[in-house]
Amino acid sequence: MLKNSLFLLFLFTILSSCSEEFNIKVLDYSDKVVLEGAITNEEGPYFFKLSLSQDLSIKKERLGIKDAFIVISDNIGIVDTLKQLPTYIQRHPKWLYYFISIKKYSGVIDTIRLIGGDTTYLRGIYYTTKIQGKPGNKYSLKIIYRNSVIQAAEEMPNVPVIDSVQFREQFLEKDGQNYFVPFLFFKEPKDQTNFYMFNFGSDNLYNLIYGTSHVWNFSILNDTYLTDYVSGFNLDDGASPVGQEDFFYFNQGDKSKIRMLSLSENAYNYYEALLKQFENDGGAYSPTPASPPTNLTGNALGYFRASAVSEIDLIVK
Amino acid sequence: MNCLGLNNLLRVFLLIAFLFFSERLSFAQSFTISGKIKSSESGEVLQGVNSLIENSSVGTTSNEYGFYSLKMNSASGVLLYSYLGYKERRLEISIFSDTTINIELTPIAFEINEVVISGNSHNNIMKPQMSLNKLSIHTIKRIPQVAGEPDILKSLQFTPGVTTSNEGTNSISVRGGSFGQNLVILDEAILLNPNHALSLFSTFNPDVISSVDFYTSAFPSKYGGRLSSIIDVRMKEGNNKKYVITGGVGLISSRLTIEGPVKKEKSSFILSGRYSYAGLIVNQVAKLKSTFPALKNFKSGNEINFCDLNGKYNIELNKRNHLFVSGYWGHDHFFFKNFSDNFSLDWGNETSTIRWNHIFNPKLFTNSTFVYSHYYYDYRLLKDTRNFIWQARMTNFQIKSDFDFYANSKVKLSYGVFSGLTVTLPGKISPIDTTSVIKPFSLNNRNSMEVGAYAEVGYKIWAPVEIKIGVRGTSFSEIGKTTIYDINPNNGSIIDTVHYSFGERIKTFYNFEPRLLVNFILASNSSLKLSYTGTTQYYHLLSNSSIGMPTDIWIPSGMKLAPQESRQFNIGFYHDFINDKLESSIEIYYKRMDHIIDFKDNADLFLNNKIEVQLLTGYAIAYGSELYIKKDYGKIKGWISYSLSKVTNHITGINNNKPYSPTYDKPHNLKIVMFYDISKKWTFSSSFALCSGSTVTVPAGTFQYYGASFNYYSQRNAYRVPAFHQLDISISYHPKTKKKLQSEILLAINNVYNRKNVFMLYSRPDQYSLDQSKTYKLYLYGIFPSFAYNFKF
Repeated sequence: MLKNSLFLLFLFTILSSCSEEFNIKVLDYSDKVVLEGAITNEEGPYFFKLSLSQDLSIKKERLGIKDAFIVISDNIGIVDTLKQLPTYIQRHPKWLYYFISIKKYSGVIDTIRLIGGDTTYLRGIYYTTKIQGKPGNKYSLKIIYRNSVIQAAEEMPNVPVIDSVQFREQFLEKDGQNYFVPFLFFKEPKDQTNFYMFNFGSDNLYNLIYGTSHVWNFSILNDTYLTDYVSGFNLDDGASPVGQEDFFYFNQGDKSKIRMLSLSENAYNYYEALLKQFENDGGAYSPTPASPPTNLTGNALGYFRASAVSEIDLIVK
Repeated sequence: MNCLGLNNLLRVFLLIAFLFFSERLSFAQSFTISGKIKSSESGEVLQGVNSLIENSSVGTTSNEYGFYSLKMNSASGVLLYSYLGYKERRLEISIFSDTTINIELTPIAFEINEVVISGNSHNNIMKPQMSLNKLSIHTIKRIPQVAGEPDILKSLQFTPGVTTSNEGTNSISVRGGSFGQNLVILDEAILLNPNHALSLFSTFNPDVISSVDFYTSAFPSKYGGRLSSIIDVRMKEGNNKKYVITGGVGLISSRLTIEGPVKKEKSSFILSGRYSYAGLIVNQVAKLKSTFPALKNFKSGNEINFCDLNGKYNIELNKRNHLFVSGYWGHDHFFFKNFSDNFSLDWGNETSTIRWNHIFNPKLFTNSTFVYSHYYYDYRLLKDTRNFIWQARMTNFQIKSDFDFYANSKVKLSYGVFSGLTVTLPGKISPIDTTSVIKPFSLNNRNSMEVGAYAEVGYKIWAPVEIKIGVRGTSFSEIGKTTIYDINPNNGSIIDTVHYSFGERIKTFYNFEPRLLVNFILASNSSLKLSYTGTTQYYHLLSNSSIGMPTDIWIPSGMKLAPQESRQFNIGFYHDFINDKLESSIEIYYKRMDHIIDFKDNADLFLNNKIEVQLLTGYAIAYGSELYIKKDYGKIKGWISYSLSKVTNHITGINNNKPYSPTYDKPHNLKIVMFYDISKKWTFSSSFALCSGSTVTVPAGTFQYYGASFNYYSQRNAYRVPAFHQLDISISYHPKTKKKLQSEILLAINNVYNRKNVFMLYSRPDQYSLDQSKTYKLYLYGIFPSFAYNFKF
């Protein structure tokens, strides 16, 4: 709850303290498998990425894992063996940028524009062929990679409909300008604890391939203390290692999408642990750091998430 | 446990009765001399003054209210009163009945050429007490400190057995115990959070404190409730002879104290305030942004400050009755825009104590105390539609009576009864205004009641052997009004809910804490001491960090949490050498602490009604040896303390069920303090610390998740940071003035050779490329000079 970085900054100012990089010798490192990706209730395919963890000191290129076997099944009898994303890329004849084509379940072709022609980034990405995400359904995952078996199970919780978004003008101290800040309106289901995640599409295939910019645009919400009708919720913009404004803001005329996703309690705890790592102070004014509590077995890292999505288009007028 | 306790208690009382009556039979004709010992300068009572009948083994020490009582077996003799820093007094007396002798001792002015005192009183050898460090405020003020701020808790870190997980803070750990196991009392009121400004400063204003008694084991039976140490801080009473104004101006704070008689030599007051303007300094930094482009994003309008107010009034009602009323109020405010203008945090303590001393007869002294102590914090989330205030409160009331009975020249009996009520609101949130999307929510209250009694007898079995045997019996109940949930430990779901009405007992514990201390005087300058200390701690500090936060809260033992218990064995050899100018001791201890708590990985403490599910309990083993050499006389004074120690926690569910070191486990710990009186005008102080680095949890590796690099962990506290060492010096100039004004200009240089000691190590995504995880060390300060000006008139 408390921003630990604040205290670091306080120390800087009061005591002329400073921080500098520090090399730690890690005693017993061994590679672990990392899973990224989620099943949603949007139209498939759904994308997953497998990669390997890294030692603290060796700065090697992180490559995806090519030769894994992944199966996802649900509680209504669908069993789907995932396929690897082909590393075949195309070049736009006129604008000369590289792209890949993705065929949706409905047959519609989607194109994803790439940065340059380096196909190594596409390694380790797998996609579903038929399984469909639906709130209330349960999903099981099995990964076989070399001699290890990794499993996970997750139920997809419901998500409320975003009724509307209102923009309020807010003054930002960083540059002394006024910006438009979105506030969300939605009705909260009573008598149960719900967990949500917000993002602006940060979990799409492009970000799975290339990662995010200087802000990790995932924010989470636990409804325990929310009023039954949430009238005007100010979105947190995620986390960043540098102190930033804590919410999204737009200029007039901007267009965007807000995605509200359902999370299981486990998934919420997982993302909460990740977000806390941005404020990690090693346990001085915060809890002793610990691994995020995943739902994956076999010492794997990452999370197998199943989220229902509620989306709203934004046009700042 | 209960039956055993009562049985043993009965035995102890029988023993006491025996000792008492056996002495009565053997001495038919004798008189009691009693009275109070005060300072001639301020009229304040002096605690711990030795009074002795010359050429006999009869002697005693004044108690914390300056009262002493001793038995004389002949009609005439010579009484000697001696106290460190005061001139010794000899009194030839002839008495024919019980007599009251109130006496005043004169302090030795801090003048170099004056022939210094009587010599060593061998207190460390003759008195049975071990593991006690008495720090005078004069000593505390001389230890060089950051920003020239004398600090009691920081000074204690120079004494044996004390470590801290993050050097520079006041979260002290004593003989392997956590900082939540220290009993910090100010005029008998428990301070629930003794820290200001993120534990960088303590709540004690040095100008209003008279003494600190710091016990690391062998606790007298009147103390209880915490496992690891007793920090008994006493406020000055106020000069009852003349008005005195003391003050100081420092880099971080300034202070002013006024004291004086209300009715001369009958009643006096002291009133003291301290205000810290850290926020002002930060805002001044912000003003430099036009000069330094690097500061262009630095915001002003920060509010960071803390203040303390101490007050005390005492009145001698008549020869037998004395009343003391004292109070403390401290508050911290924290709003730091440069990181976030989204929240502010306020916290503080309030305490008040009313004490009534009554002398029943020359042998029986009693003190009755009423104590009120309150701690609170308010966390305000601002500029956010969640707009809420998160608050917690804890209030403690105590009532107790302590008796000192000087039965005869061999037996002193201390006993007392006490009772306490604690009401805790662990947390609640409420919306600040109507735009908030938060609904009000409150955790259930956690209340408790405690009653108990203690008795301790000091008995000189024969001249070289003295024992102190004591027991402390307590009954502690968690009480309503509250709701208790029965939780399924596997999934955290609620199996059952039970409501309790106000005062209804939920769970009661009975405990019996034996205390034993034996002193074998081997020679006039050496002794061997043994002790056993049993302690119980009913309140658990829920602090999930190594320094601690203002938002840490205490919860009582109850259905889910057993009281923490500790048993400590301690052996010490005390020896004075070089014409008794050097006092030395070696102590070896072994301590086992049961039902200690730690937190599950990723524990969620925020407004959690099922908080016990987030806790894990186990035991800790601590052992070590401590060497201490001290010189209290001459131009050069000081001490050397070296501790070799080890502590491991054994808690199932943490560190893959393997034992682990807590962060404050520092095997080597060397502290050297030296004061040098150069001349009447100039004094010099220095301190040096060298200790093992603390243990921290560092990542086992990193992984990428949606473009950012995160860490994963395996072993708890498996990495030891590089050793800490630092040299601090200070020099004071006392200009000579013709008027009454005494002043001091202080220059302190901390971290003289600019060592970048690790304050904390942390790993997080790099700010320029999120896909890289980097580890950083933060050091608190490089070479750090500071000035302060102190005055008194």
